[in-house]
Amino acid sequence: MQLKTYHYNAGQGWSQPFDSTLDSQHTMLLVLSSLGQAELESGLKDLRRAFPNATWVGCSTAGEICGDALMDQSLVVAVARFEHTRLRLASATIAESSESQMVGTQLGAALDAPDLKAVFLLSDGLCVNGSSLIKGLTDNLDGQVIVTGGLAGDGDRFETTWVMQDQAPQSHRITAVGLYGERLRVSHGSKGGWDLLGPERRITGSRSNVLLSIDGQPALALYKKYLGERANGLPATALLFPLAILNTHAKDGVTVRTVLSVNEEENSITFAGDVPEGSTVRLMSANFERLINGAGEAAASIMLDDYRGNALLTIGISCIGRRLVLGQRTEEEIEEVRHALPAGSELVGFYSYGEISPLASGRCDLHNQTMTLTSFWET
Amino acid sequence: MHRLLARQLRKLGLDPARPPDAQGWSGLLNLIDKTYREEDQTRYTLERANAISAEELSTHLSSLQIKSSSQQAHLSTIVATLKELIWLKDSEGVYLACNQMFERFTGLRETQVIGRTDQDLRSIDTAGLLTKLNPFPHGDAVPRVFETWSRTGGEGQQVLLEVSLTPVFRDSELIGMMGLGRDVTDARQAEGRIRNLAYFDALTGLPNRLLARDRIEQAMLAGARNGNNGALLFIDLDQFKLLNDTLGHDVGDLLLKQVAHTLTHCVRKSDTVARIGGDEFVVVLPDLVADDEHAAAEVETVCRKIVAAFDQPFVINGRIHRSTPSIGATLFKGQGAGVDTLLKQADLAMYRSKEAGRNTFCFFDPSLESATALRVQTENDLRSALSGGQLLLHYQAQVNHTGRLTGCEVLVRWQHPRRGLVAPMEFIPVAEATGLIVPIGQWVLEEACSQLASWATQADLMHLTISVNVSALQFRRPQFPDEVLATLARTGADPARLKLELTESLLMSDAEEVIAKMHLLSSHGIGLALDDFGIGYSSFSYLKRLPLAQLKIDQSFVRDMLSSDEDASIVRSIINLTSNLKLDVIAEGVETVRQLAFLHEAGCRDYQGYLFSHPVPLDQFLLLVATAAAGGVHVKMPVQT
Repeated sequence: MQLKTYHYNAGQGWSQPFDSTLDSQHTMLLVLSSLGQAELESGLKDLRRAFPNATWVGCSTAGEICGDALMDQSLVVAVARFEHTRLRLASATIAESSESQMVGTQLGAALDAPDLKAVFLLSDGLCVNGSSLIKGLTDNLDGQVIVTGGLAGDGDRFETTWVMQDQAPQSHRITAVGLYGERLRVSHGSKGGWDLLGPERRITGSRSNVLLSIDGQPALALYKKYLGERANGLPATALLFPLAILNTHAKDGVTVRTVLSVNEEENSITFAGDVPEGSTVRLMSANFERLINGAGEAAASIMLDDYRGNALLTIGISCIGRRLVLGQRTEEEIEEVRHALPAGSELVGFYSYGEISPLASGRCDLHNQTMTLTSFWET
Repeated sequence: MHRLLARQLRKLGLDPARPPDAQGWSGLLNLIDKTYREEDQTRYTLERANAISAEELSTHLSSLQIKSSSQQAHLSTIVATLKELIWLKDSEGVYLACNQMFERFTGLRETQVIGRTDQDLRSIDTAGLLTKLNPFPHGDAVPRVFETWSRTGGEGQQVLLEVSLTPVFRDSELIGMMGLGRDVTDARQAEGRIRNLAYFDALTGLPNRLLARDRIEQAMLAGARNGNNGALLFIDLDQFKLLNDTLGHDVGDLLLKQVAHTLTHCVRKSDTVARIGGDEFVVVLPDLVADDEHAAAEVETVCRKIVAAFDQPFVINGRIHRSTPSIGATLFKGQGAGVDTLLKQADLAMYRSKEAGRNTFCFFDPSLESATALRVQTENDLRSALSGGQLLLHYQAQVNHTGRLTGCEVLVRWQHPRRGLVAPMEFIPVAEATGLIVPIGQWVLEEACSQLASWATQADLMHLTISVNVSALQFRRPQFPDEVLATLARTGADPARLKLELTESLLMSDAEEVIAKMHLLSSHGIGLALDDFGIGYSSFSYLKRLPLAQLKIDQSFVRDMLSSDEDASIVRSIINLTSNLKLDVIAEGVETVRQLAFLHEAGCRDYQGYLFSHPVPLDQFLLLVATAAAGGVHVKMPVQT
């Protein structure tokens, strides 16, 4: 595998000249950006010229990661030309979140093959139920296939997100790239670092990923009580208190849900994944030390046993909720991750509205409020 | 320098070692200001969250406490109002708790029992009740369910309690025992009523067809075990339908009830009377004798009793009604025939009774009938024989080794007016079966004693003894010893000259009572001989305890002892045995000189048999005595000592 990363912003242009020799059918081009439409288009134009044959994937973000730096209003690109790995792209349109599982099933069917090693998935971040999407995707796939990825972000605005489709940004799309081949290695790690807060509560009213009531009280009221004066920053400030669903399998610990939007009329909160009625939940909170340590632990948990120092791409997907808590110290978690990865390897990534990776039990699920890392290399 | 400040300086391109320019200073202030704001917000958020969650947890805790104490209160109310007795003990048997029902039942207050063991409460009135509720040692980790009749402490009422004792464990360690007692008196009674409905006829209260079948099967099983006969009677009321149709079902029902009553009184307690249909009754007679003919005689007795009972009119609603039964009987032994077959046989026999003109009984097996017919004749004749002086005694001589005639055995004979002299084999079993053996035996005893009294006055006869056979039936009568003594007194006979011959079978039941009677008789000087020794029940340990004067070697051994080594050795053993036990021994059935020689050689010194004399009438016997006195019986003894 050959690998290069680039970043671009309106003022400074590209960080370095493109290496067009990387362009091929076996090249994955990852585009991550929080730029506005005009600046984005200008950057993409350069990329189209340089890498017309690559398999393009990408999405909008709530901040880009490049190396050990956090960037806003930039365009971060990773170009990975595989030598022993085949790529196949599948994508689909999604109109509303109730279609999530069906779309997932379609994507899974399109990518399924005996030598499928991994799937990297990027989805519109607002109109999707991540849990259902993953359930649909993984239902018919071999359990050994590693599925990672994330939901596109939109800063702390929660208004519109996009994913890369035919070398251009499109909303209401989901793209998944299948990676095939014996010599591809994929490893992953995911950690939160959040602490459980307050009593156990029971979800007494919900519609799939829309939370209506907890312990018989309107869900939104509970969040407002906790947020106090910061309630006027909703929905973003709700990310300060993720919701932990206590899993039936103790091994899987808790599943963390993060807020996508609120509905004042209904007093409801929409999460990035399912919040099943009857579940036992607890609120979570964190200080910056715990989150930074969590990110470090995620990086340390990546298994690099047969990595021999050649090109290695790590895609880091962290949650917007973490950025909100970390503030100016957000870069510290990126530094922590970068520090734990091999020197000379490349780290790109973004702040997202949801992270995807397998649980301890091997079952893939949507995570929130984590630092989720996926490393790719070839042997 | 703080990591964040260092990064802020780096991002602004400022050198930590020099003061910034105006633009740099303004940029730095902005970032520091932002940092403070963020810190404030973070602190606000976390402190607020901590305060709210602490409050929530505290509210949650107190609501849990309220819930828990209200649950406790609910539980206490439930336990208190339960109709079951509940008590809890620790693993040492110390009472930890009990409910109100327990208090009411035992008459003890909870405060009296808590902290105490049953042992501590031993002195109280209801200690026995506590023991009944806790019959197992404490520390016994086995769940138990049992029923016990108990008297309540307060009201003294008898109730059936179902008690379940359940060990209580914590982390597999026995920490105590919970007892639960439930009054099941009414429930068990209800179960009993349900069982009655299933197995008993509602009208008469008799067993129904289902139970009758079961009883027949039980009788068959018993027969298979002990070889005894059983019998099944099928009884149909003659003309019952007519009565029912003309006088109505009510009258019919009342008659059936009375018939049920009558039938029940005609049979033993161990027999079963069942109503299996409209006017159809069944009687199951288990445990009859093994011999078919005798069993048939027993059945016949019952049938006659039933027919006789129906001679009495039934009084229903003040009016007299007559009813007669038609009875069919069949014998069974073991499980050869099925229940259905037996019912069919008895039913067929019943129809034969109907054909024979009703109010009678028939056997399914006609051969049993002719045998019983003869038996009935014999029985009737035998009754008149006793009163009509048709019975007489024959005397068979008993001789010792010197040839001296020492006495005789008397044997009863029947001089039938039409049939001539009837063999004992023909009428003794009938006498036994009908109980006539008792008056016959008494008559023999009277005769024998009179004879002894008469002989006592004659010098040449005064030494003679008379042996009288006593049947088991006769001996078992409680008054037998008194009767013997009274007879001796009445006739004036010398008890020492009277010998009573008993059979081994007598010892098979109530041995202790038999032995006591023997001692009583023996203490008055009466000689007791064991007849037919060797063929039946022989327990040497009993033999030692019996006050016997003599054993009689059974004639079957004497007959075969010269041809069978086994019989020869039995005879020798018996003789040795009597020698060891210091008893007299007499051999019966001695017919040849060689037999006599063998017996003499073996040590037997007294004999009886055709070699010396057949049983003969008195005059002939007296002639024999005279002959013997004159020079010996017409047989020369092999050895003179």
